[in-house]
Amino acid sequence: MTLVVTPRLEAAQLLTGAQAVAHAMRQIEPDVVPVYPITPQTPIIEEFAQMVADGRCDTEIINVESEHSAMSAAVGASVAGARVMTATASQGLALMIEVLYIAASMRCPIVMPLGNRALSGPINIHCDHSDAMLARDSGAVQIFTENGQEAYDYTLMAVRLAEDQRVLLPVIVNLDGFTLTHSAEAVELLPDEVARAFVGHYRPLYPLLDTARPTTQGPFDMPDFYYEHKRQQDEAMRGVLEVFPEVQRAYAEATGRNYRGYYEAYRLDDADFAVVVLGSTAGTAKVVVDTLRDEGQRVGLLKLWLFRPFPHAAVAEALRGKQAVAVMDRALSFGSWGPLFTEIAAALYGLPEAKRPRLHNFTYGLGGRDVTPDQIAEALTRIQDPRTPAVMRYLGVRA
Amino acid sequence: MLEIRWHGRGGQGAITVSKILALAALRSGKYAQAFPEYGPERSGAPVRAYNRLDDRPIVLHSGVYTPHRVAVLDETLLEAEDVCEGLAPDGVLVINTTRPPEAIREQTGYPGRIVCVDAAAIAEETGSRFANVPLLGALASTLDFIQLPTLEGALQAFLGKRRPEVVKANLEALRRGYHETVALEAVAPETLPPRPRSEGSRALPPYYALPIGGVITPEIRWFPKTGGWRNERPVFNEALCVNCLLCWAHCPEPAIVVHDRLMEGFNYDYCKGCGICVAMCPTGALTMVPEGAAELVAASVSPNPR
Ligand code: SF4
Ligand code: SF4
Repeated sequence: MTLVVTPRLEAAQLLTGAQAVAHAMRQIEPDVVPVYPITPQTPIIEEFAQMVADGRCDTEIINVESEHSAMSAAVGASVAGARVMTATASQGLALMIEVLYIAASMRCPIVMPLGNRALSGPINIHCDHSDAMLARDSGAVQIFTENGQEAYDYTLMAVRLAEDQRVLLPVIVNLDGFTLTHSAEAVELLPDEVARAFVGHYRPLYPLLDTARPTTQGPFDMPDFYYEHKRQQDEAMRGVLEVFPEVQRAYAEATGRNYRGYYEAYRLDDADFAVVVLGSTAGTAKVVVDTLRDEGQRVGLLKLWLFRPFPHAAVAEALRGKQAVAVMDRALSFGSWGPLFTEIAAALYGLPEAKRPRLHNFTYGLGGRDVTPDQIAEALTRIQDPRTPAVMRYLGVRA
Repeated sequence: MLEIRWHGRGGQGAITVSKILALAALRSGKYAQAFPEYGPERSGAPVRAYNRLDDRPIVLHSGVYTPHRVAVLDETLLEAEDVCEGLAPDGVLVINTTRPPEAIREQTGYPGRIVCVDAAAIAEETGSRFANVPLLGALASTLDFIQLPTLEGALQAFLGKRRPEVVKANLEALRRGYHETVALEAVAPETLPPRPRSEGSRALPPYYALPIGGVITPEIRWFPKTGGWRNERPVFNEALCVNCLLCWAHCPEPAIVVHDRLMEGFNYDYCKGCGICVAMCPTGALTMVPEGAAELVAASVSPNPR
């Protein structure tokens, strides 16, 4: 079993995903962090607030009374010219959504770790991707991470990505609630000076506090301007497909940590059958792929880092010619296919029919339901039978 | 299909009369649409309303670009907007004005039929208060398929259970508007002197030329000019000004001109006439006057004494 970046034992620390992200925040040293605690994000900010209190980094933490206010304060600080981060989860993100759209439209490069958690109700604090999917069309870039190491590394990269002049959009770094936020694993941090040099200084484009060059921000648009601004926003989002690999390359140069591309392809090249996942399930899926390979099955994994913008062309190329693909969704779009499935279907539709794999959709792991190797093995086995009907299936739910 | 465009200012009732006209058309055996072009809620800003009238069901839901009638509720809009945009030479321009149609032709260069009505005076004299109802009467007089009694019925339906004197005043205003028009017939367009094409607010920049995020920078202040929203303007009496700059600090637009910490006056391209500066001024150096009044009016008594 391989990891894209393997923490070296002699340099690794035992850190929860939340701690790893908090260290990234300390090294980034944002000017302003407005925040409201919500499970399972809370330990990220707890750890970070402790570091600020200990004088290990110079950040203005604003304790607000709700996530709506957290994102509002983040937008205000961001347009003023500050480097801003916040963090949230689940209902907190749901409450932020209104302002997250505004942050994206005002082109605020706010970086936000998201401790993925189910949406109410029933009230549930455990992991799934319903919250991330809620923000799917908000205009925020979305990165998914498999483990604490990736959550740390991508938080640093997210700053460069968000602040690139071609992008200037909020970036959400997803890490699975509890599975990553609260689980301790080996994580190798960068030396502070390396991390700081990589993120560099933020130079805002239109700082509101620049009285020598006054601007109006967040104004009103009539039908004659709104559409143009949305087109700009969409092009910036599409531009991420270009900037993201550049940031990865810069990170590799600065740190030797070699993340490459929009996704990790694990034993995929010569596979006939593939599974597509987001987040920590990818690790479990790698174990399953290894096991099934040992049994002689030609299976592989595609783990997406970048979900927004969605790299349709690259995904189509990666899955071209496979016989069948299982798309694993940890969220429902009630009455439709899973949100990841619809993207994969859209990506593959352009392939010539002979090269277009059969597609299957599996919903799994809602509300923290444990994701076992058996479930993934079941998905990868079922799709090998060409008579398996193309309907969405629930894995691990009582029938 | 007959298309109509109404020009008014927020609060003048353009949208209401477009609906009354649509109801009258329905009752006259025509299919009808009435729809507004709303902006933000802003009293005094230019607003438009539209009608479509036809013998057949109307399925079109796009904007009106080539109206057969244009009705203008407020003469000052002739400065702010190209009210004749898209109006064919065989159409009719109906306008609330005290001036003769010849003057309107000279100002607008419109060669078609021009119908003038002093709707403001009619509204005043009848006590109906708003110029929209007499203007509706004037516009309806140019449509042969709507009879005055049908129009009266539609107006009554809209007035509902208002006090009888209000209903009476409005019906009177409608009738007078219908009858008291002064018209000028169409002429061949070539007989009019050529006019420079107005730049027009529609010449807008491409998407990539806009600053991102909706930011308005000093360089692009030219495009969202808000001066056209105004029907009252603030004026400045330098003698009373103590340069406290409260007006500058509270003006929501880049409309107060300050140099070297001295208040210098207004940039009327952006002053939308909200009056906040006047309310803020502690010395009475600022006062609001109706648009078009002589500039040298200045208050000597502060509305906001300290
Ligand atoms: S009326 Fe005064 S406050 Fe209002 S826009 Fe004009 S100058 Fe500014
Ligand atoms: S508020 Fe009145 S006194 Fe103060 S600067 Fe403005 S005009 Fe002058």
